[in-house]
This record gives sequence, structure tokens and C-alpha cells, in this order.
Amino acid sequence: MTWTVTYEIARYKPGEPPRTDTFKVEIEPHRTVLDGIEMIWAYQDRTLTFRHACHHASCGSCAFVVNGVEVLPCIVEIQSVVENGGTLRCEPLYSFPVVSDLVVDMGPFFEKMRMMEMPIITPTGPLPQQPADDYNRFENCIECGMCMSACPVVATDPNYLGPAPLAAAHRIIQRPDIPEETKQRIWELVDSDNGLWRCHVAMECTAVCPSDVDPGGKIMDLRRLATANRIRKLLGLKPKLPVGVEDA
Amino acid sequence: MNTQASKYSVLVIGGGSTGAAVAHDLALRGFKTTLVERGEIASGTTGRNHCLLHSGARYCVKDKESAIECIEENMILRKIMPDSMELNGGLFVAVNDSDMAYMPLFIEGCEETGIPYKQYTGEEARRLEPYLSEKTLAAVWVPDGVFEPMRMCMAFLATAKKNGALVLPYTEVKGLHMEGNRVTGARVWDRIQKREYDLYADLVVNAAGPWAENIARMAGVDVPVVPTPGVMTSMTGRLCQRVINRMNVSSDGDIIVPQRQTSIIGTSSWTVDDADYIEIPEDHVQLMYQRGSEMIPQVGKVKPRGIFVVARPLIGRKGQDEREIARTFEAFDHAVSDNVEGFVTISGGKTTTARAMAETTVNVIADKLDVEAPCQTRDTVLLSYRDYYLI
Repeated sequence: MTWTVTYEIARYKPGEPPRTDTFKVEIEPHRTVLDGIEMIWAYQDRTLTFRHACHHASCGSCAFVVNGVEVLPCIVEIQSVVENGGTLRCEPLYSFPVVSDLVVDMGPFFEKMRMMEMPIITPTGPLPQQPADDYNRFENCIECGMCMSACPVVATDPNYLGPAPLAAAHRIIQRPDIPEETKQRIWELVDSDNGLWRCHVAMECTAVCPSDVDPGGKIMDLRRLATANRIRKLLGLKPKLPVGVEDA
Repeated sequence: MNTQASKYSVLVIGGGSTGAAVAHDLALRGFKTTLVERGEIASGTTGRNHCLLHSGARYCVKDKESAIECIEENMILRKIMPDSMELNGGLFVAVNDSDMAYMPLFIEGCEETGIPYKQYTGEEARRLEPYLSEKTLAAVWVPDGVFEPMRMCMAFLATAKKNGALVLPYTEVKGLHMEGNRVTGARVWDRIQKREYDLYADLVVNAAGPWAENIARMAGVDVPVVPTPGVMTSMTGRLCQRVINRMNVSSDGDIIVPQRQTSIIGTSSWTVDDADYIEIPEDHVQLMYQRGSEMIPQVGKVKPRGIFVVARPLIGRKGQDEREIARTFEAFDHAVSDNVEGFVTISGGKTTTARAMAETTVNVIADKLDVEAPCQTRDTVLLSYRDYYLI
């Protein structure tokens, strides 16, 4: 059985005022929000632009905002966000420059991720089920940008590193394969004016993360580390950081 | 007399793995390169693929040519794009007598095609992969891997951009320009600016995957591409660390690919006419669960995370048994096959062999234009995919 669902999509094209378009879609309720978007493109409006590739929450490209909440539409079933006959409002990620419709410019975000220098391949595995030395794997963070869009601090300050880059730093300083100099450089970015002290602990990042990275929790962890070392410094003790650097 | 590559402009149609690899190869040899893709990079067949870096073992019994291509490319890609793949190996597992009967053929195939392998007993295999079925009788390790298709394309294109290529996503080809029997460019539609304009080139490469036939038709030629979809179901949780394959003749649901925190079961196979939007057949989804459970029973107990379908661009004729169509690729110089100049189609193949497909295609182009510029992509380490957004 198919449902009739109305998509209200925030549209933007360079040089034109933003507007909202509505599309009615006949779709099975267990199909995804992204399936509906693809159907609109295939059968109703070829000017609709959106990002997508893997359709299984691994590439991180399709993220947008549905009814005010960041989602990866490739894994969100229609029936989980709307009822038969209902409306779902789709907007591009917040705090990202909009290129066209649901397409945002990932450049500024990837610049911050690049500053963290985290290889997306890890030899350690965040949650290995057993020790093994003959394989490696991708990191959990899929760099979708949802945490950046959800973060109230990123919304007001583009210089703030933001949740995903700080979560990346948390991984970096623990990874045995990362050179000490890199860890030092990263720690200086983390414990700086634009780093972990800007977080207001809204925890929206952790709430929307589709990959259980828990950026908010990681930022709190980094703060404990930074605080402990400031106290150690006051007491004349050597800092004790996984990075093994003097307090920045 | 040989001429300089930089004197020639080449337009590549399609931003999947084939088009991205072709653009990289062209730019590296010095051609003035432009790539157009009607959607986001890797938003067609490549993006939705299985993410399997083939060792070639899947093809080593019945399609040795593809198997050899795969193992060669597997070893090259490990070197040139280290940040786009999990090097976790794969097991071919036998869970019944029919699988065991296939094992000698399989091992002979690995020997003949030069695929390294290691044999394990069922017990050893289950020690490596605890979720494997209790019925596992034996397993063979091969150098399979897992990649991220979109990041792979971005790595090719970041490097292409660094070498001067122009990459235009959201730009759809509306028609091809012809002068006599020569293709001279394309009428393209910018889906962001909503405007049409012309791109001229000395040569046009059709790398549109399952849509290659539509593009070829614009030049009045026919290419035998059969859009052949397959269903994949991505399950919640990483149920294996290595790729788990069924040790038997290729069939539906014969592989489970772990990626990040999911396990992707694939795939089925049928043919369609239009690959723009493909309905997902529910019986194929159920078949994936059922067949996947035969190797890892746990897949029947976890929730699906994503269910997706995409069309492979196989070369062949409709009506042929789609599993019998060779998985190798072909570059068509339409001057030879159809008397149309300035137009080359590359189709078939698979993402694992994208670099080799590009090498073959650009060799054809260099010959046609009388340019001496050897391929350098075997040894050129690609930029990080992150640079795609920053160049």
C-alpha cells in the first residue's frame, strides 16, 4: 500500500529569492525520505538538486533537515517522520553556505576536518569485537555535517571548530599510529579560543549523530583532560596528556 | 608526428568511478579536461555499489579475465588511494556439501589467476569471525577489501582538479554537437543556475554507466549496455570484520561486506530499461536476509539500516542471462564501430577496475589524437578525498 505524502522543500537558486515548493508523492511508508526526493527529481522536477551517493549511511553526503531536525534521509523511513497524508518539510543543513536547494558547500567544514588530519582509516577500530592485526577499517564518523548544523555555537560563530572536528581530535590523540608532532599541533587547536571551551554543552550534536560518534561526550572528555593539566601546571607538575605536550 | 596532449580538450560525461578515473588519467597526461555529471559526484551506480574492493576471487572460476583485472587493480589501488579503503581481506566460506564440492574449482581458479589465498578449517574460520554459521565447513582467505565509492571518486577528482581539470557537477548533457560525422561538444544544462550552454571539445568520452546508451543515441550510435540492477541491504552492526563470500557459483545474496558499523548483503540481478528510478522488489530484500543468514545467522536478527538498488552498466544484449554477461569492460571508439569521429564510450567493468578502464580509454584517445603520453596512474598516489572540496 502506498501513502500520499507532501514534501515541502526549501528551494534556492543563485540570483533568485528563496521559496518553498510542494510536491505530492505516492510512496510506500517503509521507503526512505531520500527515495521520495529521488522520485520527485525523476518524475516531477529535474531542477531539484540534492546530494546523495551510498544510500546506506556511509558516505554522509545526503544529510539535510527534516521538520527541523538533521537527518540522513537515506536511512529515515517515511513512516518515522510523517503520517499518511502528512507533510514533511525539507531544508538544507543549517550553518552551511547553500549552493542550490538541498545542496550545501561542504568546503568550510572539510577545511576544519583537514586541519585535524584524522585519517579516515583506523588500525585500531573504535569498537573492535576482537583483537586482530590483519585488518583495518573506516572510522565511525562519516563527515556528514549534521552535528555542525545542529550545534547552536557553530550557528553563531563560524570560527568555532565544532563537534565533528573536536571528536576527530579526541580520536587523534588516542591513536597509537599518529606521530607525536601531529598530536601536539592538534592539541593546540583543541585547547584554544576556537576550540573546546566554546561548547555550551547543548549536546545537540550527540543527539543527531547517525554514527554514534557522541561528539558532545568527546568534547567533555577533552575538557577533563585540559582541566586536569591546567591544575597539574599550577601545582608545578608535568602535564599528563595522551599527547605528551606542555600545556598550550 | 606526435603532438602535445595540452593542445587537445576532452569532455568526459559522467562523474561515477569510470568518469572520475578517466578525468584523472587525462589530466595527468596533460589533456585539457572537463567532466560533467548531472547530479552529485557518485550519485548513480558507483555511489550505491557494494563497496567491495574485489580480489577477483568471485570471478576466478568462470570469468578469469575479470579475475585477473581485479587482482591487478586491487594491488594498485591499495597503493594509490590509501585513505579510501579498508584492507580487511575476505573469506569464501563453505556451509554445505555443494559449497565443499566447489572448493577445489575455486582454489584452482585462484592459482590460475594469481590471487593469493589461504585455507582455513571451519573451526579456524569461526575463530576469526565468531558470527559465522556453526555449519561452516571450511573457508578460504583472499585479499578482498572494502572501499568508499564516493570518496574514491573524490580522490580521483581532487587529483584531476589539481592537474587542471574542470569538474562540473549538477550539469546534465542535453544533446551532442555534431559537425558531419564528428562529435564536437555537448549542449549542457546547469541544474544550479538553470541555464543551458555549450561545451566544445576535440573529443567526448561517454562514461555515463547505465545511461551510456542514452548519451550514445544523441550521436546516432548504439552501445550495447544493459542496465542490470541489484538490491543490497545494509544491516545494523558490523557482524564480520572481513568480507564474507559464499564459496559457490555466483548467486543472489552471496556476499556480506562489512563497512564502518554496518554489514551489507548483496545482491540480486535483473534488467530494466530506465535506470533513473528503480523500485525495490520486496522479494529480493527478503532473499538477501535469507541467503545472508545462511553464512551469518545473526543478519536475520538485526534491523536493516538502509535498503538500496542500483543498475550496473553491463555490456551485452537484453535477453542474455545477466549472470553470464562478463564483468569485464570495453572501450568503444565509435570511429571504428560506427564511423562517428571524436566519440568514445567506456562501459561495463566495475568500480574496482575503474583505473584500468581509464587507462585503456585514454590510450585509445591518445592513439586517435596521435599524442605520445604514457599512462601514469599506476604509480601516482592520489590526493585525499577531502581536497575535492578545497581545490
